Amino acid sequence: MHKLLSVAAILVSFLYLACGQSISQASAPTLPEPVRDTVTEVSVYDFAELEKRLYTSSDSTYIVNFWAMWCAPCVKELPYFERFLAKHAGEKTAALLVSMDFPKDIDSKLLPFLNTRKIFRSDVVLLDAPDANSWIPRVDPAWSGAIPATLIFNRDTSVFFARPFADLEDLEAAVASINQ
Amino acid sequence: MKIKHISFQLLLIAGLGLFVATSCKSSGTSNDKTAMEQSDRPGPPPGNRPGPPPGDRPGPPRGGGGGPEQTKTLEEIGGYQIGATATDFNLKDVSGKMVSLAGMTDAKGYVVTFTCNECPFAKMYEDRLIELHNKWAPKGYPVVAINSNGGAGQESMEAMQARAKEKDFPFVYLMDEGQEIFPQYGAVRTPHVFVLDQDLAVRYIGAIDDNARDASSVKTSYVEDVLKALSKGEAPGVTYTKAIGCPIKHS
Repeated sequence: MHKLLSVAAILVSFLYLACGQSISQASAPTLPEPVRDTVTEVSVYDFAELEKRLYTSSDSTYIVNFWAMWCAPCVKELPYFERFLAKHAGEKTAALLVSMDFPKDIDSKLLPFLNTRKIFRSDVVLLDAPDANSWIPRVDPAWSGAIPATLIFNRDTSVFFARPFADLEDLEAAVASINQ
Repeated sequence: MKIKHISFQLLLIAGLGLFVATSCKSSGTSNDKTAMEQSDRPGPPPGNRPGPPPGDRPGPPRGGGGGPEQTKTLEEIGGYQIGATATDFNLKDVSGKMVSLAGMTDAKGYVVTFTCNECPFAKMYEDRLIELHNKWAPKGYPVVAINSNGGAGQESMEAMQARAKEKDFPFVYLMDEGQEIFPQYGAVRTPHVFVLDQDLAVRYIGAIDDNARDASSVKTSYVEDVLKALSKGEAPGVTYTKAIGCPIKHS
């Protein structure tokens, strides 16, 4: 019996060791380049689920953009986020595009939209949260609710942009301003 | 009996080993995931860390950070605070007539609504605006709809006239030609409502109700609650709300 237990203990600690090794590999200094070649699903979030992704304790920088397919200035700036991630791959920056479109349009409109426009580097979720007045101030007290709007943050700093970005350089300056 | 006991131990050990192997596998494959899906994404799962309440998010004051363009608060955009006296205007209606608030002599107040033809959120509220007007205009509180989107393409006077005809708007639908009115009010999205009293004092700024997508699921009708209060000579309870909407196009 004792013998059996010792064997088990050795077996288990071996597994733990192996595990520890792969964990340290996963948290290597550079983030993997998150390139998909197709978007097959978009998660539907309520605000509580989204709110968890508006804060970080990591050393990465996050760009959270509120947009919709029906919002022309939003659609215009989407490529800037993709280009930013491509240009700054390996700089620990990630983008989350929060769609305000209708949940019923995910398969028929949103997924085709994302694939046609090759939105492959940013993560995309759909926010289904009707009582906007309850959660808009929790994103930023200064936000009126007009989109596009973008929150850029790291673990120390957060800046809210209630406007579209004019171009890639404008977005780069915005990210640089919080990482300085 | 002893054999049975040992088999149980074995089972336990096998189970433990399997658990360790499984958790190992999931962390080992995280390299395949996108950055946002990794365990170091913002906002750790509940229980892991208390997670700061929104007000405590670290960061410089709004507009700080040295970015080339400052983030404007509503106050910085300008526009009215509750209690301010709103400007009157003289704007062209879809009927061709010029309309001013002063010209609505029977009004006890005004539901000034910045809206447009094409914004899905504005469209979702068209029927509710019609209902609001039909119910409250006879009591002295008409809807005054203003299109401030610049008058081009789908927001042209012709397009406004077509939309008004199609929906049979019972209220005036005015074009903010020159886009001079909406910045004074501080309207930033469509639809964006400003309820004024008889003296043009701003009594409410914000959304029509709390559910744009589904009228049948509305729990609070902000504008109607304000009108109920004003019609009784009372101060409105909620005077300022926010909602998702399309940005008013600056041209």
